[in-house]
Amino acid sequence: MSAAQDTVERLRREVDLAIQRGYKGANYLTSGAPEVGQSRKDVLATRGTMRLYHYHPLVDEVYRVPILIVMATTNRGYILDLAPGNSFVEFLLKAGYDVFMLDWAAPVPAEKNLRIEDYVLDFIPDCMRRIRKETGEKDVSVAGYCFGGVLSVLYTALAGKEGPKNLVCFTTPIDFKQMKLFQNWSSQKHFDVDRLVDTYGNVPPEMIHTSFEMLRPASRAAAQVTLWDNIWNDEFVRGYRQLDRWGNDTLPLAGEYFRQTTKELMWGNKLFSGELAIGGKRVDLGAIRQPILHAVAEHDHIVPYEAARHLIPRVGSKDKTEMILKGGHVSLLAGPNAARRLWPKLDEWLGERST
Amino acid sequence: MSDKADTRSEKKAEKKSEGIKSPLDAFRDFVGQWERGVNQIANEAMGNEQFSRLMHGATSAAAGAKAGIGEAMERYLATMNLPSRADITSIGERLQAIEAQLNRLTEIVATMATVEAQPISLAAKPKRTRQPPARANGAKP
Repeated sequence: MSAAQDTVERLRREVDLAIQRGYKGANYLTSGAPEVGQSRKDVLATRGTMRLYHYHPLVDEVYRVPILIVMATTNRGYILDLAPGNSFVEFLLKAGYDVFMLDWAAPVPAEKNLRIEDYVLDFIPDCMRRIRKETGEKDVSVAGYCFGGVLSVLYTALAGKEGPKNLVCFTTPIDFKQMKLFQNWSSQKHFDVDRLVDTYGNVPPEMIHTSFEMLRPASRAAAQVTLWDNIWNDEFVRGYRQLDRWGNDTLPLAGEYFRQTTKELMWGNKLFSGELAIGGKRVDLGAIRQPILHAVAEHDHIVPYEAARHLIPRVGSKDKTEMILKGGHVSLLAGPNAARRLWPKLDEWLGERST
Repeated sequence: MSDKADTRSEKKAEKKSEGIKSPLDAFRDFVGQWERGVNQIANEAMGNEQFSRLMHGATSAAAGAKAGIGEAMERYLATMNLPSRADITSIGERLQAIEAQLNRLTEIVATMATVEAQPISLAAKPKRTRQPPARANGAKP
């Protein structure tokens, strides 16, 4: 093809895309929110902010050991079940796991006094009890994402023999001093957490959402330019809208839980120093003896590797693995890159330990 | 919280390696560089103590204003003999507590009637005998 023909062909293509952008842009603005979380499930339990789901198996023969996914308290669990064909939950179901999820609803004002103890010593053990009853299996694996990972670690360290069979953590911080920007924003010198919690009760979701957005302030504008560029591509737009819906769907945090997290973890860094006590018991990471896998992302802007890397060296398990993968805080676990990188590796690790 | 920026830069790298070019590529590169540059500068600016002080000054002022307006509004509503948001919330909380009690009672009744002996979940009950592919194919674990 000559240079002139090539230029004409490119121009023709750009004009074609520009027309499609106009037409599909109008569709984008007038269409409703995308559907998410479509894997069939039963709600096994609802207790205030706590939701326990049991997903319907997709195969005739599952692994003996069920898995409980513990979602981060700041965000909705449907990030792990965005759409058929793009769902971590669906992948696990098809791979033969019996999947449960501990998800969170927005805590109501009456739940402002919930503390880390309520999550670690009540909600998670309650879900474990219900799963054991539901499946008839004593052994249950636990997998926690982000702060759900922190809660899972605390639970496992304190549960003794009642704890999980296997522990999987996704991008779980241990050294909170390494979360540099969050550290600066929650600086003890300037941040009056008591005034915030005493005034608002629960921490408003807008505040949590803004703090995540501020980590990459230009990214929203750049994402919108990329959306316009690709708005002719239905698949891209669908994926963008699902992720965007989830990103904007931040949950409020229970006031006392936020106060405790700020003082004990952000200021005191007590999980790292070994001084953290939950319900009067000191949390010793060395007490975790279960097989453990920690998957971390190379380009995680929320939980940098420096904050997450201490988990594996500190646990007492003999069978322990750290997996560093390309991707960011979300793309580690959700989306097409996760389907290619993390999911098959996790299946390989967990399948061996779920019989 | 999402990290679309990482995905975008990975896709760009893949595109480059495929040698695909379009007239908009320069613009796309510019947007990518602009995004990285602004994020980096903003992160540096937000990482200093002055930013933290200013940010919390604003947050504190907003909290103070909220508390002040809330108190004034409460006094006004009390004068007008109308319920405040706190009153409505309190009623909602009591209703929720009653609902929770009812749920607990329902569970107890269900247990007493041995209904709980039946599966709670509607999901089908598959066999729990699956083996990982390697082991199922006869390989050593």
